[in-house]
Amino acid sequence: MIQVQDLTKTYNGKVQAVKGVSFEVAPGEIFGFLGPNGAGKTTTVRILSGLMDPTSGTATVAGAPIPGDRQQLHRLIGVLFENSYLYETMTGKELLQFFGDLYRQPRKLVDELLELVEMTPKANELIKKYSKGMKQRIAFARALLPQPRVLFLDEPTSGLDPASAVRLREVVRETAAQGTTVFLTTHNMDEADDLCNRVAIINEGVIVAMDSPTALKESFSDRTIAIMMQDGTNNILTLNDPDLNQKMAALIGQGVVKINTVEPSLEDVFIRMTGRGLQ
Amino acid sequence: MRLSWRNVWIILWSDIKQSFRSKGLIFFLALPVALSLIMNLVNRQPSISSADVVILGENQGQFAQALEEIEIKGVSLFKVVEMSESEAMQQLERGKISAVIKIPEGTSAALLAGEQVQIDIATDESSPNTSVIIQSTLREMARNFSGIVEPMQLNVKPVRSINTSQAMLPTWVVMAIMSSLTLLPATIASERQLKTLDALLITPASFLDIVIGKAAYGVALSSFGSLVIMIVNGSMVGNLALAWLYILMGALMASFLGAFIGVAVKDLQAASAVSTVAYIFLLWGMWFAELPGVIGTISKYTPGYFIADGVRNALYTTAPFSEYIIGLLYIGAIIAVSLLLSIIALKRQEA
Repeated sequence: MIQVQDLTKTYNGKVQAVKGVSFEVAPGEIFGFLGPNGAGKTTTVRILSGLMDPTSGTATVAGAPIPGDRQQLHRLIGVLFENSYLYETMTGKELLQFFGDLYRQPRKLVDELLELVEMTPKANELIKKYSKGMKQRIAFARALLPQPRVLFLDEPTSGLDPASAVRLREVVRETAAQGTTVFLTTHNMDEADDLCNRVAIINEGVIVAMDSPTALKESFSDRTIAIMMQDGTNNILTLNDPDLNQKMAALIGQGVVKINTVEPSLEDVFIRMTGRGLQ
Repeated sequence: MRLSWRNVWIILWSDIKQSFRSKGLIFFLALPVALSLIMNLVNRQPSISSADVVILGENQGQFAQALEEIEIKGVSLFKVVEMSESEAMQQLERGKISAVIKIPEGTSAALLAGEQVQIDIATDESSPNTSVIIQSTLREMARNFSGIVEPMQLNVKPVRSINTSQAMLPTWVVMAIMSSLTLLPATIASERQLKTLDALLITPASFLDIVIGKAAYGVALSSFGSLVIMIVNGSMVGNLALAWLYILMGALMASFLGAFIGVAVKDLQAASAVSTVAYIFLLWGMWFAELPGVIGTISKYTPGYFIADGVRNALYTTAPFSEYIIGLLYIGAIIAVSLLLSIIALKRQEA
């Protein structure tokens, strides 16, 4: 559904934000694109959503070539920006009707989407009176208006209360289950781990790792276990240790309370790959 | 860049609906209307001021001297200017001079013989006091010259009759027209800054659709403002079709220039500053065209002057269409240049 080949972007002939990025995303896949600020992920998303041309390289999104006919591309994709970017002097319903008209969608779809994001009761209130979470839900409904084949989501749950975030993730899963490809940009590692089939980690314009969250974590696992003793101390043992059995037996004789496997989180993977945390 | 008129209409209609919720915009639109109403109140008392007069025919010099000697507080009440009859009548129609006096051959001889003479006088009835003073001054001069009580029959032809508010109307109309010049750059730049422009750009609407939609919104606002000003000032008179042609062309010019500034200047504050400078440049000709010297001459070539003059002439004179062609072509050229600049800026934007 998304094919990217040697994509580069250089600003003003000097700053190279994206340096030969290549990847593919399958139909119905939820693909996480992770990276710290300035890593090149926003630039990549702006290129793939047709808001900017690449300096070199090519891509296709839902069959639409990039660079190419932007209007053709925009009929096939939906984009949710990190900040909702809404017209505050409109009501939620008016905003969706306005964008729905631009997408040539029937008014019935607006009502359905309002229902989906649970905004029907507030649909006729001005957006400037909405909370951040409500704005984000309206923006999410707007992203679904074109009934997109590819949905770009930039920090979709940012600012949402936990219940709304859970609901929105459910909607993302349902959307993907119906065949829509989801391209998710997020700082929330738990969210990426929970939602994504695969993730790519981009740092300084280069993809440094790309795989399923499980496989990435596995590849960075030290295969360690933590053994908690009755006196409250923790003993860490690696499974590759040739003396593992003897050490285990000795500890068990001293009174073991709990044994846990120690797995790296996706954030640990990221820090190891890039040498810095996600900001 | 493909243009979809349907998208243009959707964007225009949405902006119009939102306008009614913007207090700032309503104030901006209402300002020239309010100013015109305030000026109406201020100018209720007619005033007497120095007026240009043209004298044609016999003894121009003597009459001219006598008229120019009439003073109030050391200032001549009349200034006699020289021009041909046809030019004088045109200038009178346009309110540039106050009267044209035609003194037939043999007038002096007739007066000396004690005969009553007939003099044709065309006056600007927008200033009735000035007209009356000119008539009484002529009678007094003839009386002194001939020594008879009723030496003169004046055939007065009122050429135009507009009040002060109507005379000021083109100024307010041009202010309303130019409002889109400051409004559009701010709208486009703030949409860019608030990123709502990005949300529009990921729809099937092209940047050209968006800019034309915004420009159409500017034209709609300018036209609506002009219409309100004309109605409240009682100026739905004269050649309305021609006046509206000027208003629409002026609105197009201001809107395309505004759109160009909005697209080319990305920062909101910079766009506001540039549009304010452009606004002043386009308007100043209206105010300074009557000044002597270089400033007055340059002012007469500014778009604001052309539009105000065109609207004024269309509403209050019977000048033939041929006299408007240069002004319309001039404004049309600015529209074409603004459109071209907008398209170039758009192409750079999309690159």
